[in-house]
Amino acid sequence: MLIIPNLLLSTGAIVAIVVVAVVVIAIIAIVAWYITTMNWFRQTKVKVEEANSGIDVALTKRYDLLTKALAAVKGYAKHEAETLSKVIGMRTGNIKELSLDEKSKLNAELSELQRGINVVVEQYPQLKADTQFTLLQNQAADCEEQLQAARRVYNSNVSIFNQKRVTFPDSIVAKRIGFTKDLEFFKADEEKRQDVKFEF
Amino acid sequence: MIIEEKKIAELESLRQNLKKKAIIVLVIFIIITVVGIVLSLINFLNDDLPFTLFYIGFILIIIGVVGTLLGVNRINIKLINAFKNAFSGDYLKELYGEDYKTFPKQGLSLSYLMQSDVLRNPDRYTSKNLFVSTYKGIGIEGSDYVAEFIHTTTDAKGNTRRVTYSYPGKAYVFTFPRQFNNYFCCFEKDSKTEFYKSPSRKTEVEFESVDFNKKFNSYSSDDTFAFYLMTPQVQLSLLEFDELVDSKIVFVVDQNKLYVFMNSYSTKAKVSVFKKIDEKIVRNYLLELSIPLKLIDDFDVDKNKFLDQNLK
Repeated sequence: MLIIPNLLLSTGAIVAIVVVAVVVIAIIAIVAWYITTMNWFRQTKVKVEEANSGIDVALTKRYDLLTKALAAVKGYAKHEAETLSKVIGMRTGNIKELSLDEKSKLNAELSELQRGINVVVEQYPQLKADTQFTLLQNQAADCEEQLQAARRVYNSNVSIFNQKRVTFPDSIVAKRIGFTKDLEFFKADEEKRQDVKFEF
Repeated sequence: MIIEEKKIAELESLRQNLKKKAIIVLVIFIIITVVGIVLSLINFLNDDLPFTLFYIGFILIIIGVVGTLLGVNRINIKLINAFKNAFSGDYLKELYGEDYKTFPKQGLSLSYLMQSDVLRNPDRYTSKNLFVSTYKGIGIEGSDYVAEFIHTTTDAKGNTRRVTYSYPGKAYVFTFPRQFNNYFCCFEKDSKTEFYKSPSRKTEVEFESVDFNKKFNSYSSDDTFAFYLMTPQVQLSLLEFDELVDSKIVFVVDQNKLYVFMNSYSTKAKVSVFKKIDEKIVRNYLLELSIPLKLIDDFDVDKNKFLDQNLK
């Protein structure tokens, strides 16, 4: 029998208190885990959206730089420039509003444009010697690297999110807060994927 | 560089001569040590003998041990100097060009290295063997350093004890033309000592490579910047570089500088009078001399990304 000042508790009461305490602690732990997991999903989703914005910024910058480079090409090789401009077509509207697939497609088109410009440059030494054009070309190449980095950050966050979303018991929380589908990955250029194709 | 077999043969012949001298020195001082031990033991076992015999024995032991260490060390230094003279001069000029300069008594200052934001202020700091050069438009500075932290403890009886912890290593600073606005660093796991610390206000970054994440802890002020610098190819190169050197490595990119710290630096190219000089030792030595250049190549510092000042 446990003696507390002015209070005597029977063994049954002590057991009841312990059981209640355990249940309360368990409930608190479950609620804490639920809130932490829920916050983790929401925070990671925000990180994914931020990474998506990073892609938008890099893609917009790449688009701008390459269209400027194309304009510079026009000054030396009008016909080739007109052919190249068909690669990306007439684009209106905001890049931010495009879906991931559309962004991926645009990126592939920009890569094709960049390759086309590089081919034209080889045929026009004056264009190659133009310092302003070289600057644009270097910036576009660097922008492509920044875009790759943004894509990798995005895909890395998506991968972590998707893995946790399907892992038990986190999957319960994900389902309850509405994350029922995997987030979409940003696809690499078809050309880039071909670069890493192994042939035996 | 073609390693001249003639030079190796000459050094090997020098080593054998020095080895004979070292053995003579060893024998003399070991005999002195043994005599000292015997005298001390005799005195210890026989109470009738005067106590001065013990002192003589003790002094002989000290002379024997110190003489062995100093004697062999001096002979080793002769061989090391001959080795360096034979290979460093021509090779360094071939590797770094004419602007390679060394300042054996100087080193990189602590305040300069502290700008990397991964070092704690030690109680004592010394550096030596400074060298400066350029390679592919990148400025290179490097030196050896020793950072010391002194700990004072007081036991229950009030006795104080001072213990000094030493952290030797090599530091390299590469200066490139481009100014970055972000910060990145990666620590090889288990490299954090009292001297190294995590950078302040930077978040941890995980890359796609499981192998890289297993080996390094990375921090950056911006995730995209970290991924921009650490392309899969750079990650692979750094893992290979890590396999090559016997030390824990820290990389920091800040503004227009790449800092590289290699702690507990131990060399694979150890030259000793008791170890045959062969092509392998020479190759390891030459490889160590070219480490800064290898770092530039492996970290892609020679690429437009680091060289073009106009990039934003």
